[in-house]
Amino acid sequence: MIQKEIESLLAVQDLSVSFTSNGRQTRIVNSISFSITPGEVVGLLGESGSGKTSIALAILGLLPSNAQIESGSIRLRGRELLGLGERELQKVRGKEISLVFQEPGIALNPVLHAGQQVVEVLRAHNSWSRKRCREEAESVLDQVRLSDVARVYSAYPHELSGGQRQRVAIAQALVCKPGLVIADEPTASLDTTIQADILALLKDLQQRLSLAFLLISHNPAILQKMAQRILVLHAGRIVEQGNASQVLREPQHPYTRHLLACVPQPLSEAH
Amino acid sequence: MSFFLRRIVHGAFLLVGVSILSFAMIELAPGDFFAEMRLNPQLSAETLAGLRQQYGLDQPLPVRYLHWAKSVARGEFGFSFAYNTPVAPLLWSRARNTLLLTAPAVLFAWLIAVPIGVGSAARQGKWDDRIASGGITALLAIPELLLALGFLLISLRTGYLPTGGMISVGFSELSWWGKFKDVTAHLAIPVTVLTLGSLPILVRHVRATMLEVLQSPFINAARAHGISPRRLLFRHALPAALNPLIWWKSSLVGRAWDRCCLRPFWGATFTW
Repeated sequence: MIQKEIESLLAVQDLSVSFTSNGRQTRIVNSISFSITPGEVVGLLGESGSGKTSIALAILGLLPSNAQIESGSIRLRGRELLGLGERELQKVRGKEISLVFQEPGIALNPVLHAGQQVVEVLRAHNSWSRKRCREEAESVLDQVRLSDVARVYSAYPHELSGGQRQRVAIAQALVCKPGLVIADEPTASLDTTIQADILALLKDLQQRLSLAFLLISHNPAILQKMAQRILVLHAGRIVEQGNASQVLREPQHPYTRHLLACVPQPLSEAH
Repeated sequence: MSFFLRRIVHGAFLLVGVSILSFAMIELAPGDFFAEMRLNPQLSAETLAGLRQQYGLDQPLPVRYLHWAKSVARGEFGFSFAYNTPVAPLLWSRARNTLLLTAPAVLFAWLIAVPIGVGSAARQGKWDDRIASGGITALLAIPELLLALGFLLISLRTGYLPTGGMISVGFSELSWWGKFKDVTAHLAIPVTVLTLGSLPILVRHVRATMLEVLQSPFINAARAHGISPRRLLFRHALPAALNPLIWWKSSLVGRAWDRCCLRPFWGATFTW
C-alpha cells in the first residue's frame, strides 16, 4: 500500500466537489479516486457536464468561489495539495502540474506577444535573466514544432492560426518541465487535420519528455490514440476504468457502451 | 504601420469635413461681424460695404472657405476682426494656458485613478473596495463648482494659496524657479478641482474594466500557470484593460479641454 503511494505521481482519493448556486448545493464530482504514475497517460472520458473540468480545476486549486471540496485528498508525490495556501499552490501550478486549455484562442492574453506569454510562465517559477528566459522560450517554441519561431515569438495571438495558438499554449504548459500535464479537451476547438497534428505532437512530447498526462476528452477516438488507461466519468462518478484498449473494445458499463455507440464512425483497431 | 497611415489619412479627411461644417454652420447664424455696426449712425452704409469687401465677406461661402484653407496651408489660421490681428498668436497663448491647466489635471487623475481602480477590482467586495467605492461615490455626488468654492474659501481663510489669476503681480521680476513656484501655486486649486472632478468616473471605469478582464479565460489560464496575483494584475490584466481605457482617456482630454478651459480661456476670444 505504502509502496503504491510512493509510486504514484498524483493520487486522488474520494474527491467530492459541489457547487452552490441560488442557495442549492449540487454535487458535481462524487467521491472519485484514481492515480497517475510518472510518465503515464490517463484518459478521462465523459460528456460535457460530467465533471471533467471540475476535477482538473480541483487538482490545481482553481475551483471558482462557489465550489466547495466536500471531501477527499489530492496528493502529488505524496504531498497533500488540498488545504495548501495560495502561495504554495502557485509554485505547483505551471511548475509541477500544468494545464492546457480547451480553447487557445481565449486562453492566451490578447495584448501580450506569444513569446512573452511563454516567458511569463518561466519568470513565475525562475529568477533567470531576461536573455536566458527568451532563449528558453524560443527553444520550447521550437520543440512544439512551430515553424517560424522568430515571427511567432513577437506575434499577438490574433495574428496566429488556431493550431499555432494551441502550440503556444502547449509551450506554456511545458516550459517549466512539469511532471504532469492536464490537457482539457486540447483539440476540441480545432479542425480535424490540425487536431491530428496536435495529438501527434502531444504524443511525441509525452514520450520524449516522459511526461504524465491527464487527458480529458469527450471523444473516445482521441483517447484511443493517446491513453494507456481510461477512466469513464458519468454524472460525477467513475463508472468504469481500465486498460485503454480493453475499455474501448469491451466496455463493461452500459454508459460506456452508450458513449461508444455514439461515435459516428467505427473505431479503427487499436495499435 | 499601414494602420497608422490609414488613421492619419482618415484624420485628415475628418478635419477637412469638420472645418467645412463649422464654416457652414457659422454662416447659418444671421448677420456677420459688421452687422452690429449698422446701429452706429456715424458709419455709412457705404463704409460698411467697403469693410465687408475689404474682409471678403461679400464673397460666396465656398470662395471664402477656399481663401481660409489657403491661408491655413501657409500656417495662418485666420484674422480676428475684433482684435485686428492674426488669430494664431491669440489662440496659442490661450491654448498654452489651457494645456498648463488640463495636462496636469488629466495626468494626476490617471495616476490616482488607475491604482485605486485596479486595487478595488482586485479586492472586489472586500472592506477596502467598499471604502474606496463609497468615497468615490460621495465625490461623484459633489458638484465640481461646490468643490471649487470650498477650496477657494479655505484658501481665502488661510491665505495660503492665491485665489485668482494665473500669475502674481511682479511675475516678470521673479527668477526661473520663482516663476515656476508662482504658476504652480496659482494652478494648485484649479488643477485639484479638475482632478477630483474627473476622478470618480475614471475610477469606476478602471474598476469595471478590470473586473471584466479579471474574469476572462486568459487570466484564469495565467493563474493556472502559477503567475503571482500582483503580476497577474499589472502585467496581464491591466494592459488588456487599458485598451478600452485609452479610448476613454483621449475622450477625457477633449472633454476637459472643452468643458472647463475653452470657456474662460479660448471663449473670451470668440465672444467679442
